[in-house]
Amino acid sequence: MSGAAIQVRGLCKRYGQRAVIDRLDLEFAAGAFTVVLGASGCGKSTLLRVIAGLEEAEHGTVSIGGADVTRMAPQDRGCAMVFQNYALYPHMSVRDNIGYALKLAGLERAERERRIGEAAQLLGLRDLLERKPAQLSGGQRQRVAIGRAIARRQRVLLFDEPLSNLDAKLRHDMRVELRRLHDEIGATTIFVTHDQVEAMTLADRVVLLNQGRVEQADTPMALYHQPRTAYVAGFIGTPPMNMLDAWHEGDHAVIEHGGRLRMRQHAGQAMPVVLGIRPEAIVLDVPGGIAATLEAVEDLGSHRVVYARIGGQRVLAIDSSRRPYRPGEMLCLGFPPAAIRRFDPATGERLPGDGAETAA
Amino acid sequence: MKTSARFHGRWMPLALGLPQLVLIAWFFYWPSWKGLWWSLHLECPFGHCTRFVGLDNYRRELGDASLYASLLSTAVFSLCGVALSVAAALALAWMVEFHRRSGKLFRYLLIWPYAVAGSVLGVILRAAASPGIGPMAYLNRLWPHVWQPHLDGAQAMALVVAAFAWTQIPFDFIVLVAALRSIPADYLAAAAIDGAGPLRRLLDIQIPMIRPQLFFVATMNLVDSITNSFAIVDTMTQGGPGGATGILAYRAYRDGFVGLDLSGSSALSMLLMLLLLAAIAAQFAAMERRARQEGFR
Repeated sequence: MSGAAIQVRGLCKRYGQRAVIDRLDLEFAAGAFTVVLGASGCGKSTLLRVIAGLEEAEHGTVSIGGADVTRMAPQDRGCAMVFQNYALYPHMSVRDNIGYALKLAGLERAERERRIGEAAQLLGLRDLLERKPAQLSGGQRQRVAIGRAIARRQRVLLFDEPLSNLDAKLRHDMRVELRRLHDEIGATTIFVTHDQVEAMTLADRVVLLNQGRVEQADTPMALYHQPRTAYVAGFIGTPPMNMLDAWHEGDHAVIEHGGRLRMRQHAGQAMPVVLGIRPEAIVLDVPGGIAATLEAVEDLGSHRVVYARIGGQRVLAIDSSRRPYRPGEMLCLGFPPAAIRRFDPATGERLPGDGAETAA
Repeated sequence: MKTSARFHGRWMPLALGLPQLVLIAWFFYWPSWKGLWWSLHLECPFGHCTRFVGLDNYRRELGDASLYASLLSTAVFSLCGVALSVAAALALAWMVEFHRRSGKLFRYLLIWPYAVAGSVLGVILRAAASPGIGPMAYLNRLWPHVWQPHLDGAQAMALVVAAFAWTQIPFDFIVLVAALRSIPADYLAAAAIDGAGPLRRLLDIQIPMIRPQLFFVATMNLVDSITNSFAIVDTMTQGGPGGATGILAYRAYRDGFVGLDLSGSSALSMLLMLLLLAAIAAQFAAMERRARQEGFR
């Protein structure tokens, strides 16, 4: 089975006066696993429901596999969907839940049984087929919901925050499994989540939404290393990218109370910038580095998160050494020039010419 | 400040519950007790004394062949009436739920008939369904003698069943609208994506999920059809033609209030009550078994 490409053109959706989706243009490549990421209320679930046909688009069009489906009923669009709360029919057994769509599609009994068996095999549901949803655990219900979606072999698979009701361990297992299933099935997959870890680990491509607009749509690594805006830089990464107000003049940037920093970029005239640097890119204890005061240290076992202050600005660094720390001690932080990203303080957009576009 | 909603002491709670207790005692336990007492006694011919006769009244009623015809017409009336009420109310509730935006207005309009008393409705429908005047007269002009509920038992039965359903639909409708609304929207969304159109969703998802409420309204309708429907029959057909609509409730009413056979009427009422209890117990048993099968408990 192969996927179908999905195009969204000029999509608008309002609830009352509030625009949830505002003139959105997006393409989802056939067979790709796209994660739509964003904070709650950014319009990501609405986008998914509009593609599925559960909500009507106010303006704009949705096409699947080249055919305009904007005015089509959900059942005619060729999508399968997994809901956040699974929405398993409580009065039907697992077998009937998976088989319901197949029955409606008019498949013969033998073929239905074969497909139910295949989906059950794939998801380890063989022993649960006769149970009712009320007799299943959360993780098992999740599997049934996924089984129900894949048994139909639709060209498009939609996931609406499917892992958010699971505990951390199950969520990890399901992530690995979902990626494996996608590689086996090859349907075009759109996966909505607010969890950046899911986005980074699952996606071929991530679409980061902010207030109904696309902030950036790219590979996970590009989002991480080449954030197009300060919003993206602050959203992706745990902990997120450090953002420091500074003045850029010639070949140097000045951080108040911190000192001077050599830059790869050249500024003709002095201008305010926001410097972005990943916590793990910061080198601790560099002679002549930026002066910072240590505030606190969180030990996570594999590494430590160092909280420091440069003047009035908080900066986080990752430290993998076993060096002892004293609260209040002075640190000299090294900011490698190649790791520094510059953003416009007014618009939040990344300034061109940090010379690292190819580094990813 | 105490936030507990419990009343302390013995008299305050009792005093607050008193109006309800008095009403129940007055209108339910006292008449029931009177009914039981009368069903075991017989008034002397000229009213000077009352004799205890044991189960004689029951024997007399059960020995009357016309009781069984009445039982049959009760069964037809109740089953058809309940089925029609629930089905019509469900259809209306589904349509309102389907068009949520206009739903509010219809919800208010559709509850109105509930306020109309059975006897008033009977008089109105009697005029409306009259073969000589009213809209049905046109039918008779096109096909002479096709509509004559005063002569045709089946038509008379259809008429009282329709009238009964009319009185029950508003209540059923309100309950079923609320029931349909309580189904999480994701189930219907999932079914829509699974390829189910509106009608399939109703049959496969909505009806199974509101089964407890359907059971509830069916039970309420059944109780009403057996106990509370004599006013409709009295104003529309008086049990006729030829006893075709002589349901037990009407028979008990007529024997008692028209024939003044208090003992026989009471015995019949007691039998009716037993019948009703049996029917409801059977319904509950079926419901319980169903729920257990589905693993809800």
